[in-house]
Amino acid sequence: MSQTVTPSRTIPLPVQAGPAPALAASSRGSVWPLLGLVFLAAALALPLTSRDSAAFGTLSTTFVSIVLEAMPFIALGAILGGIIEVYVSRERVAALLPKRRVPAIFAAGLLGLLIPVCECAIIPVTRRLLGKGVPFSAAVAYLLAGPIVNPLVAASTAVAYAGDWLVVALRLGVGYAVAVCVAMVIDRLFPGTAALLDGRAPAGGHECCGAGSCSHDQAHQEPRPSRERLMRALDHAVDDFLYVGQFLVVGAFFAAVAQTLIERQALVELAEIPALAIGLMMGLAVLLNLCSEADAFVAASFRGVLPLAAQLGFLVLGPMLDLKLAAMYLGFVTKRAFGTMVLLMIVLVFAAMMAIQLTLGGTLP
Amino acid sequence: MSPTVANILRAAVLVAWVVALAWLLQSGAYKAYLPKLWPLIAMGLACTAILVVGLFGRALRSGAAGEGVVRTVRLGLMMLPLVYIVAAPAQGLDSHAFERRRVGDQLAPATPPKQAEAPAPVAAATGASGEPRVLTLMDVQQMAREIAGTRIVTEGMVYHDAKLPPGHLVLFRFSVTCCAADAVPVGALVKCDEPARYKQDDWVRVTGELQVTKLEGQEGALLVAEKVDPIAAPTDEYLSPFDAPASEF
Repeated sequence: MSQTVTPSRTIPLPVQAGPAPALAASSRGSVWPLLGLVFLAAALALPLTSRDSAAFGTLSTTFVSIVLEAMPFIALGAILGGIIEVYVSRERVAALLPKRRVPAIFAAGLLGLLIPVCECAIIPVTRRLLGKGVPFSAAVAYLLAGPIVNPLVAASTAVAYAGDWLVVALRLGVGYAVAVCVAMVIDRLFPGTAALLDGRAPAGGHECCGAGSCSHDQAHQEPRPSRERLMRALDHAVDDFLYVGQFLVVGAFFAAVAQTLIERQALVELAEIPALAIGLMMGLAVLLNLCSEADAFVAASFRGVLPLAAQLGFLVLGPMLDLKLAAMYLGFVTKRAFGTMVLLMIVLVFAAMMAIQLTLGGTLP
Repeated sequence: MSPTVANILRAAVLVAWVVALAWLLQSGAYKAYLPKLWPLIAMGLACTAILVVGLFGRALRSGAAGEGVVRTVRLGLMMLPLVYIVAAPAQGLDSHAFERRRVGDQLAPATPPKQAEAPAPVAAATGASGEPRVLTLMDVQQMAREIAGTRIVTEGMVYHDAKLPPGHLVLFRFSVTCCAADAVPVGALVKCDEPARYKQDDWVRVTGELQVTKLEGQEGALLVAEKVDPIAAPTDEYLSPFDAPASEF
């Protein structure tokens, strides 16, 4: 027996678009396909022109390693997203979260403790949950906090910092607080589906029914053979995998370029002032595109060289925002919402790190 | 682009990924990218194979027509990593990455290194038969202070730095947690005869006495070499912070 869900702040259900394919509607008159072609041509030209250079070796190894590490999680997330799309109803999803928006944000920020997946797997799942009526603000809280507030990240951070649980607590605590704050502000500034591309929940190049978006809930409420439902779930999974995957590739490539060009020692020499060190390490986190289970070891390599606050800035911002995540976010939120999220993340993380620097201060071992 | 053509191209991309992941696993080439994470590659292979099943479960002619440019770009982007796997055969990171990722100056002193004034008490200096102790470079970096004065043998890649004093080179490797993107250099300074005999990025095995030296205000490991032997690159080029201490090479 289903229950009627009445959130304290009503949001409109995602508007179903007409039959025009979402891909065509979003690309008509857009420069993005042309930019994509230019990028593709440049990236394909590199192996032909620079294959024997040492820099190309670093670029290629780094690029492929980022993609190979993330792609299995995107594939897994896409399959989970497809299952959610076909087998999980809106009412069931709505029943999982607290009815009121603010508690839902706080609860969503802790979901990583139960479902510790990396940020790449979270993206396709979150997109499908948005289509099921999960408030965008709760999705933001999960997106930002999930890759940090989880037991795997806590464990890897503890190992990297030789059992210094203060670092673990600061990383998880500040990460959670920033994620919740960003979600609360987004909730105020972008009610309902205002932050989503085309003002509706992502269909993501959805093609299984030959239309830009299908009334899936209606279609899937009807009894269908289980094989057909399974095939539809996999249909969605293929769409999501290819759609999200393209952003991963672009983000990973630019991250590999950054790793090939940037000398970390030069950053250390620039970072004499703590505020500058924090800013530089936050920038490095965005450029390096490391997974949140491994970035602690990179941050720990700066121990004794940079302040703890700078290392923490790297550890907190990186899982929330890097080049590949930025590319994936832009696949389903408006530029204005994306810009707002980025600004909030940067300001809040920087402010938190300056507070840590002023209270704890110095270079801790 | 018609739905049929679109579906064929999508299937081709997914099948290409399945083949690539299977080859990486079977050949061991994945070690250049994700040295310990073969289960992750296996998971990716399984999930991608499931997606291929899903795609072939759809009738070729079903689906949406769409702009050819958008489809082409998307599928081209998905193929890009596979092109790079083929174009740049799997090889580990080298001195170029070392230069980009090193932090701290203890490996590149501007002045000649100073010898440790009094070696720390030696614990288990050598094996029972007088054989040198086998250590990875990570062990060397982490344990240098407590086993200074010990005779050890270790392996790594050669790095020549113009700022090093004559008769010195750097021995380095990378420590990887998940993938090559998070690789962090580990290394030690080596004092040896004719360092110019060894080319940049050559793999060598160095036997000698481990000391601790203070360079540019920071402590670092110094290996005074008895002998330096060129070796082939090991199967597992990367170290891991979770590795147990080495007992043999």
